[in-house]
Amino acid sequence: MPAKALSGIKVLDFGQYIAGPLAGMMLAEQGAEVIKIERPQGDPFRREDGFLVYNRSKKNIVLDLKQPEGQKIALGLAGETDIVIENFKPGVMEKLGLGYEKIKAANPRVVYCSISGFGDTGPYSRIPGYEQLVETLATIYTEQGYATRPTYLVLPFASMAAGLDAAYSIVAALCAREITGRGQRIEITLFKSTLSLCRGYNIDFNGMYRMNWVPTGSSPVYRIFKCADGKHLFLAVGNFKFVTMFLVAIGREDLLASDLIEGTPFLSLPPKSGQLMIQMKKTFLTKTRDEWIDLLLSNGIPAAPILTIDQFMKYEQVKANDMIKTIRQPGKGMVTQMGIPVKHSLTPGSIKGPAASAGRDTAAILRRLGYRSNDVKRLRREHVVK
Amino acid sequence: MKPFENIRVADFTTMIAGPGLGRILSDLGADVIKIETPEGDTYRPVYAGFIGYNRGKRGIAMDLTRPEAREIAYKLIATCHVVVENSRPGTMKKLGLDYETLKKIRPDLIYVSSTAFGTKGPDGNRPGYDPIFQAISGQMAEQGGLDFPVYHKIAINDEFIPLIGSFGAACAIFHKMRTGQGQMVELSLLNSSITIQSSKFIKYKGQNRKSIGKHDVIGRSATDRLYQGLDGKWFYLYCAKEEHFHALCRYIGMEELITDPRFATAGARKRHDNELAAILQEVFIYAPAGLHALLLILAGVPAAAAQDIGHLIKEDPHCKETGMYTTIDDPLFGKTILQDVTVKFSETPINIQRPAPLHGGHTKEVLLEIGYSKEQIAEFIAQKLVMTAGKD
Repeated sequence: MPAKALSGIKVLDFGQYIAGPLAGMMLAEQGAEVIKIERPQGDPFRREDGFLVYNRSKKNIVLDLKQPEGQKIALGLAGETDIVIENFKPGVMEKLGLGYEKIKAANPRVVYCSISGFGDTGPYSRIPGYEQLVETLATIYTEQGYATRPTYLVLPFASMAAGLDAAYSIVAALCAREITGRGQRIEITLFKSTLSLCRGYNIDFNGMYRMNWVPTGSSPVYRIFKCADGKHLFLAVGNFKFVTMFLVAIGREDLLASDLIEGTPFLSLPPKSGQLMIQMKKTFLTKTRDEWIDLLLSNGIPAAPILTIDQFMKYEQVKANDMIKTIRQPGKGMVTQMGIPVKHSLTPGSIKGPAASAGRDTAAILRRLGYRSNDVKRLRREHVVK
Repeated sequence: MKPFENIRVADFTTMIAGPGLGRILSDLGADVIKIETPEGDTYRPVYAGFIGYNRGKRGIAMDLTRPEAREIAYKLIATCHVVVENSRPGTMKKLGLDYETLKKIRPDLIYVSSTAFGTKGPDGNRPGYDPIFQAISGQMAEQGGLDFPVYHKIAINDEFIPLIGSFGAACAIFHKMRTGQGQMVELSLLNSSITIQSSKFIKYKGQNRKSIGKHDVIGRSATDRLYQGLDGKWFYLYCAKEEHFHALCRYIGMEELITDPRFATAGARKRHDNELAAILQEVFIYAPAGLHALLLILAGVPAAAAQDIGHLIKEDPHCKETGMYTTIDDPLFGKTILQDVTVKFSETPINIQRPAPLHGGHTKEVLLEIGYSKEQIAEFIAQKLVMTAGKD
């Protein structure tokens, strides 16, 4: 009986940067055997810290896919794999002789997942699928900023969303294969995946109300506040029960009968005036951040201090959720990083090891394909493998 | 056939994170039944979001605090493969709808539970909304700095729960197909906030971690940022490789910058970042943003014009050609344009199954399916055990 959900499943991961490798890592930690195929020049993301997370738990082989023998080795691996993941520019895999149709002919059960910026059709398919360009076109920066000035966002939403969309879609295709016996091609674009994070406003109907957005929060009770010591907190009074509890806790029961709070917490109605907002801002300037947090939390009102990521990494609850792990990474020593974000009671996922150095498993994988040590030496000499 | 065509889901969730998960399962073909309280999902008044997170599902409403209604829920769950819930820890237990209880009704049940902070530990029972985790996890400070923290408009931690959760549910469904076993799958907003930041949530000796977050940030460097054009609109320019920078210099007619010692290498450009940004902004102000973006792409420089959502939904040629949007007939608002399914499957294509349900819009339909007679259902309605709406 399989110990992990994806035990026995083989994955060939041609991914680079974030989206493809993230999908491969998620599958690996639920039990799949994932082989990362890296180019001789290396995954350009190797210089980033994130590389260590998105490539852990995988095996690694370095292949020059531009050489016919490199392609032959890749095709050999593809013939016996369950899953192929790639996030090259559209058309690159076809040019390398590793396109879906070719692999499917040899392996009709293969689930082949392609991730690209904008897909291979439509005017934007000419635009390189970089994170920033996808987010620009997907209105993320425009919506975040003030009306006349977009804001660049630091977090890589587009790649993260596409990688996770790929991960669940691949497993869904495995489920379908259990019934049909056939594999299929899955196409993910960063553009669609990013827009699918915008369901709150990515819609149009008669009567749709678009809230006036400010990057500190538009609602007077669901927003960032600055406190007496200059530190900030977020007050998240997210339903009317909390609105009542909050006003009682701060001694402003008088507001309960006032029309100033109409439409709160989320302002499904336009606010009556900016008055409540001004009063709230003044109120929060009367105590330090930690005094406010104590008062709010002891009254059961959702609120949190605004912390840095370093402070967050020391937070007890992160440990309680088993979300902080330390792994020995060759060349770097002990590296602290995230654990497994989804917990299965019967088939728990686990980290199988650090990100492999380039070509760590080349010889072992070639042997599995029937190459002898002399062949491996020759392939190294000819720079087909590393 | 769709991947999850034979899967039925009982969806007890409210707000964004939980309903978004049921929404993806429904896109993948599952029959997702949203079960609401007599008052309904508190997110219903936020119509745009409610439709976005609940389209594709059927909806029933019942008073789960009453034992007779609970019996109806048990009968429904006996026909379901998956339960999804995101109530406060303890709430489902009080209603007799926790995993341990339901497992007795259906031993192979997959029970997906999404909480705020988790279930154990010092803050395990605290309630929390998305921005609580934007605040505490460093997302706000990493973006704007501690003096100007930024609240992300996209409910990021909420929005990533459905993605992580669909993966967790899909793995559990696959395991069940292979072994017949069910299990519990746990998610939290806290874990979601870590996952999104996983490339920063890293620490080791000798690490050189720089935060670029500051007030009103428009990019990372002169060749990786937003610029304004003649029309006041903005576009993003991103030179990822040397060849992009060279093509950019040719595009602006200043080829001499390629060999200019201030800008000839990535290191030099970093030291003279402000000078380069000033040169570029001065040139870019002579043509509209959209035109620059187009011409830069043709010149071999990665660039894209900032858009507004109205344009994207109604006019964007790429969205039209690739079928980004679809139109559904919403029972409340009529003609509604919204994003079509996210993923393309070649052999088991998926689609949006139906509009978002009215509160109790499919109560009779679902109760008939699970074996109640019309007379029994009429009695349940009379006793206010269940609620119906619309044509149901």
